[in-house]
Amino acid sequence: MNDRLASRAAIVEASLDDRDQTAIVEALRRGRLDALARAFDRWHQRVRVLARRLLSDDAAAEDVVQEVFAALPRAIQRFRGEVGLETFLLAIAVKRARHHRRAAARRRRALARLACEDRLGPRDPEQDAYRLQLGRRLRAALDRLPMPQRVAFVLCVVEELSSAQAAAIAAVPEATVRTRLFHARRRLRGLLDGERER
Amino acid sequence: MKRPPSALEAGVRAFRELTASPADGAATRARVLGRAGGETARRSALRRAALAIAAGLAALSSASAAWTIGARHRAAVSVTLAAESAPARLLGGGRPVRLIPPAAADAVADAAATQPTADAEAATYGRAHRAHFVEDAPTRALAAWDDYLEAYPAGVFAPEARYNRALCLVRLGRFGAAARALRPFAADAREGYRRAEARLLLDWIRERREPVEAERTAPAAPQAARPALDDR
Repeated sequence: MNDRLASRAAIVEASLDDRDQTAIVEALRRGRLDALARAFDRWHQRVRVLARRLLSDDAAAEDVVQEVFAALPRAIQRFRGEVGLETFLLAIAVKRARHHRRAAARRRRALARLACEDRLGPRDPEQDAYRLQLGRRLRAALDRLPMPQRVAFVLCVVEELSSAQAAAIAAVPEATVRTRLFHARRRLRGLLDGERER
Repeated sequence: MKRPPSALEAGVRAFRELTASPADGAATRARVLGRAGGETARRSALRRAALAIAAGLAALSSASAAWTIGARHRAAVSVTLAAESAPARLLGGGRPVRLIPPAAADAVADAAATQPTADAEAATYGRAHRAHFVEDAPTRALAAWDDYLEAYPAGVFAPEARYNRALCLVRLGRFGAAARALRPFAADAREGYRRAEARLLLDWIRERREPVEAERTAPAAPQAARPALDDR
């Protein structure tokens, strides 16, 4: 009984979500500024997190967030509703992140030289130092991946999206996503193992 | 030696946590909305300007088209003067009178202007009289009356020629020029048939011109797009 209620609630919630999204899309098409604000409030965290994972740089990620939502009023004119608005936004973010990748890498190298490593998470004295180290090692390994492989890995493994969703965001066939993911996993394992052996 | 896969998975979990810290993005939000607001304002300003230009062009072309249609309509109306009407009696001796549209009259007048004129005053007057009263050709008659008056401004038949010329102008729909030509006769101190007829014709012309004048003073009507009746 509870399962049925939960299922119905989920259906109602999804329906409301769709209607809300449709309303936002329609308002954006009419150039309404309040719709852009609503879209930002709803999806900026999602876009920012993906950008961080693709760029490993908070400042560059913030630039991507700004560019994605600044481009939205124009980009929405070509939105056909074949994917959700979130997927549409993440696809823009992936495209924009490619342009920021070199700048982000340069910035990170400079910070490393100055020994003031940018902080990716909140400082927590209880933070497990080993896990923090693991996370930073993976980040460093991701930086050495080609961007298409990094996109596939972040979307499918870190973001835990399906290969179909990842394909929609990366604007490539699903099979390509799976191939890139395979190569990314193999290379990351190699990089992490190599570090460990050093 | 093969490493356990959990190393990568642990790294992924740690990386996920490291990169998932929320940010309010308030500054970015303000920049995005500010930029979009500026673009919206620019676009709406451009749209308003484009609409104003389009509306102006549409009004201009509509007014021009309306004037053309109206001119045709007025010309079409002007050809039907009933036989029993006072102007028809004055202009055509009781016959139904056909008024010629100004554009057509111009073409005929151009053709008439190329015709040779006689030297003698009587011959000149006779030709104009024939064109007017026998051939019932007001365009040619007007040209002939003009020839006569140009050659003999103080001739024996000058008053008659001027009056007949005014009648021709009425028949050709050149009401402004006709009114100017008829006014001296209407204002003549001497009582006569020409004064009475001139006043009658002036009243009739005024009735016809009032709607034209009202249309001319309407705000949407472009002055430059229509021919000036008074100047003809």
